[in-house]
Formats: sequence, structure tokens, C-alpha cells
Amino acid sequence: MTLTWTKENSPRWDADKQRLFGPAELRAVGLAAPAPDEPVANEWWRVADGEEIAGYGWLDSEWGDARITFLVAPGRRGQGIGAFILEHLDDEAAARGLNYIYNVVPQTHPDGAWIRNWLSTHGFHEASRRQLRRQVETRQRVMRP
Amino acid sequence: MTTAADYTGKIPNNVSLHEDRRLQRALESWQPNFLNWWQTMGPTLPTQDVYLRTAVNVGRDGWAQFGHVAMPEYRWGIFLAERDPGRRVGFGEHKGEPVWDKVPGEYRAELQRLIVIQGDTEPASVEQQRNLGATAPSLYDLRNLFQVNVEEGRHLWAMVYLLHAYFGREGREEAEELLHRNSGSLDAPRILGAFNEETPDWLSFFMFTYFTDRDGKYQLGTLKESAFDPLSRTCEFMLKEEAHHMMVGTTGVDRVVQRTVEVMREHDTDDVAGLGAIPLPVIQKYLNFHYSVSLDLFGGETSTNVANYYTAGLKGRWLEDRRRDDHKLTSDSIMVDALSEEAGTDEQSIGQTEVSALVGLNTDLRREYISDCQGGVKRWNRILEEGGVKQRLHLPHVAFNRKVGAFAGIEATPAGEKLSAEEWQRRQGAWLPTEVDKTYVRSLMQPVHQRGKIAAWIAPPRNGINGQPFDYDYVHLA
Repeated sequence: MTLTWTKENSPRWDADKQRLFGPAELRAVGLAAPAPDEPVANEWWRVADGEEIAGYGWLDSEWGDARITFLVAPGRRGQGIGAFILEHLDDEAAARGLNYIYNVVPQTHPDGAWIRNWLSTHGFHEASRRQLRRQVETRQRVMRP
Repeated sequence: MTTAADYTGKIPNNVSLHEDRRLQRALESWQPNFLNWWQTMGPTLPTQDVYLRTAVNVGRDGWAQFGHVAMPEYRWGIFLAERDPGRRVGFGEHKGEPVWDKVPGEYRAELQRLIVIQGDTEPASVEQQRNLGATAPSLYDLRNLFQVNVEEGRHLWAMVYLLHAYFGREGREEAEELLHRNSGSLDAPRILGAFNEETPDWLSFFMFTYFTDRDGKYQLGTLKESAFDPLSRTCEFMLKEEAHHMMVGTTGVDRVVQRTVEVMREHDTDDVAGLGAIPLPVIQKYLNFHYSVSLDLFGGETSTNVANYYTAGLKGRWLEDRRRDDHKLTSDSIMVDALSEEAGTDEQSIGQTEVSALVGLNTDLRREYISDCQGGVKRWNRILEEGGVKQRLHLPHVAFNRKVGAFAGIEATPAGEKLSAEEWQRRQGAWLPTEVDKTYVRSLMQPVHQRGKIAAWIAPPRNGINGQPFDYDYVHLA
């Protein structure tokens, strides 16, 4: 398995996303599906294993607020892809001068307790209701003169 | 409608703190922690007292008093702008409903996070600037630095009040964290990356107060529109104080440019390095850096969170009530910066794309900010023009030196031409401060702590503070 991490410069609700994000996946990440080929908000990265899309990660940032969300393709779960996405999102946050990232587990998540536990084993702690936060580990600072 | 300020208690306030003993005790128990933070993380230069403005009320008849104050005894207080009993939500799905005096349960987590992030920046800048006093170019500037510092401390109080008063145990814990995180700490850094580096010299300080504090002003402006009325009123009063911080940055750069022009004319040369002034190309490089980093602080061009904040009424647009639209934006669109694929090639070009206006609100705010920054450049160029100098300062292109958003993965010149990574490495020293530039600027940072004197790299101000002359004894050093 060789995973690649690629930024989508003008992310759209393209055929790959439409295929991966079924009703359960949309509930899990709290996303309302845009119309086909519509632009999608935030910064998106695609994870591929060869030609196959293995997941997506996205980062929503404003004034220090850095929310990360990710999805592993059905059938590819339990293979370390979630950890791969999380570490890359951590690096992306660090490169943007963001020191903390957080994830919101929506009430609609079909397995909220499991994902909260998974996040806590990856360094997140409950900051407030349904929000889990962790300090960015890779310190690529924005340099000042 | 206003509540009279109470100056008799431990914590000056206009929020009737004495009527809520539990909250009063909680804040009074936080106060020693704050003072301990000020002593350990605040200004390092020992002083007896400083001529400072202290907020004493919020009314139009005068809200501040001036006097010499020993800084640890500064009266940091809690002041909210006057209440408008008829105020209604101005935007989003609750538009037209009465504003909220309490935190709605469904927005609790989001509001808490917005307040924590804003609160975290306030002490961060004090920490960044703590050593600057040692190299102040005049007592006037030293006083202004300390004024900014104590008021950033008061802004921390403002956010801590909201956390204690409206967010229960979680709010109190977050208030403690605001003192626990420190600028530059590896274990617990401040939230925004740009607030974790020491401000190394006064040119950086002026650029920071012009560009980065201005960014903060725009964030406060969006929170001032909030349907959560205590947050709105808090931010409204903070903006009043923030105006002074803007003035310090604006006139600070004015005076650096003015002095450079004077030395250029006096010696009939553009090369003022070695003549005690800061060359215009170096000023431009500092401007390029601080402006581009500040653009990043607005976040990505599009944001679902910000769209949700707006729809919920938590965070509006800059000068929301002056916008001529439906204040809901559900069917509006906006062009945002983007990279476009060039047909038939793998190349990407700098361009724009259309998105829903709601998800483009970061872009909307950034554009308001850019427009404001252009005012500063125009002002500095007027100084150059009046001094008979042909060179001009410029804001770099939005794609220049960006680490966040659409242009994070590319390199571009200040004119907005795309570059390869190799070419950027080769040429960036022409656009961003080099080690040589920084070393030169730092070499000029010799303290001038004598009354009425000023360093050679900066012109004196046109006006003193509160009608006092430039040579007033603004600071008594210990």
C-alpha cells in the first residue's frame, strides 16, 4: 500500500466524492452534500492508493480556528489510513502557523463513541461538548523577522 | 442604557459585579493569577510609573483618565459598551429577533471557542513585546508600548469576564488556560502561530501594530455584530481602545518613513544604511512580511465554520448594518481567490472562482482589511511625495508569501507573478527581510530613555499624548 497526499486546488463535489460520501458518511462528518460539481468550501486533500481514492481530509481555518475533518473510504478502514490523514493534516496545520487543531464529532455520527475514543488515543482531549482538540505536533513555525 | 462604573471594588467594572457574589469571587480569585502573569510575562524594563490612559467608563462624556501609574497597580477593569435595549439580531437566520443576554445551548461550544481564540491573542502580544522597552527610541514611544500592553491586558480581562460569567466550569478552565499558554512555549504555545515569535525590534512593532493588530480589529468588528449581546458590547468597547493601537502603528511607520526621507535628502542618496536611517527597500520588505502573514490570519478563502457562525448570528461582517443586501446571503455568491488549471497543461494560474457568499466570508473580511491597509500605504507615500522622493511603498499581491489558503502551495512575486520554488529561494531576499536587513535594523535599536530625546532612525511625533508635549516625562524609569 502506497498512499499519496494531494491538495485539491479548486475542490469540487466531483464524481469521486459523490461515490465515497454516502448518507452514512455524510452523517459521520456532518456535511451537507453540495450539488454535483459544485465548489466545496475549505482546503481539501485527497488520499490515493495508486488509482484508488482511499479517503479525504479537509481543514477549515479562520483567525486561529483550525477544524479538521476526514473520511476513510468504506472498505479501507482499519488499515491506518485515518492515522495517515491525521498526521498530514497536522503537518498542514503546522505549515499554516496553526498550533492547535480540533475535530467536532457530530451528533449524527453513527459511531460517535468509537471515533471519540480513536481521537483520544491520537492525542485529542475533550475541549468542550463534542469538540476534541490537540496541540499540533509538527512545529513548522511561521518565521518573523 | 448604561450601568455606572464601580471603582470601589477590587475589579473596576460597569457590569454590577457586586450583585453576583459568586462571579465576583471567581474573578477576584483569577486576579492574582493575572497579576502574577503580568509580573512574569509582562514588560521587563523596570519602571516607577508611566503616563497611562485608564478606562473608567464607557459613556460619550469621557471614558478614560490619564495619569502616572505604577504598571502593576494599573486598574484593569471590565467594561461593556452601553446597552441598546431595542437591539435586534442583524443577520443570519435569527435576523430581526431580540439579541441574546444568555448563551443559547446550541451555540455554546462555538461561542466559547470564538471567545477563547480572541482572548488568547491579547496576552500573547504582551508576551511578544515584553523586551522591547529596553530599546525604545524615546520615552513617548516607550509610553505608547506600555499603553498598548496594559490595554491588551484589559482585553484579556474582557474575554475572561465572558468566560466566567457565561460558560460555567468550562469557561473558568479556559480562563486559566489563557494564562497557562505562553507565546513561544513549546509545551503550550499561543493559538495563532504569528503570536508565538518575539517582536525583535521597533520597526517590527510598528508593522505588527499596523498590520496584525488591524487584523484583530477586523475580527473584533465581526464579533461586535454578534447576537450574543454581552460579546457584542464587550467588543464595541475594545474597539474604542484598539484605535490607539492602530494610531501607534500608523504614526510609527509614518515617522520611520519621514526620517528616512529626511536623511535621503540631507545626504542626497538613497543608500541611508550606515547613515542611521532605515532604507526604503528594508521598510518595504518588513511591510511585505507583516502584511502577508496578517493576510494568512484570516484563514482560508472559504470556510464552512464561518458560514455557520454567520447563519447562527454569532459573527457578522465588518460594518454589517451598512451592507445593502438581505443579511442572510443564502442566495448570494462571491468571487474568491483560487488556483486555476490551465487547459491542456499541468500548470496552475492565479485566478478566482465563484462560491456561495456564506462560505466566502473570510474573503469578504480580508478584502475589507486590504482596503484599509491601502490607506496606510497611501499615507506613507504622501510623506515620500512631499519629501520629494520618487520611490513608493506598495502592498504585495495577495498570492505573495502565503502559507494559508489557495496560494499556500505556490510562490509568487510581490507583483503576483507565479514562480518556481527554486526561483523563490533565489529571489526571496529581495522581497523579505534577510539576516543582513534584520541585523542592521537591530543595530539601530539603541535605547533613548532621556526626556525629549529621540533615536536617529525615527522622526519625533507631531503631537504628544493627551495634549502633552513630546518632551513630557511620560515614563519614570526605576
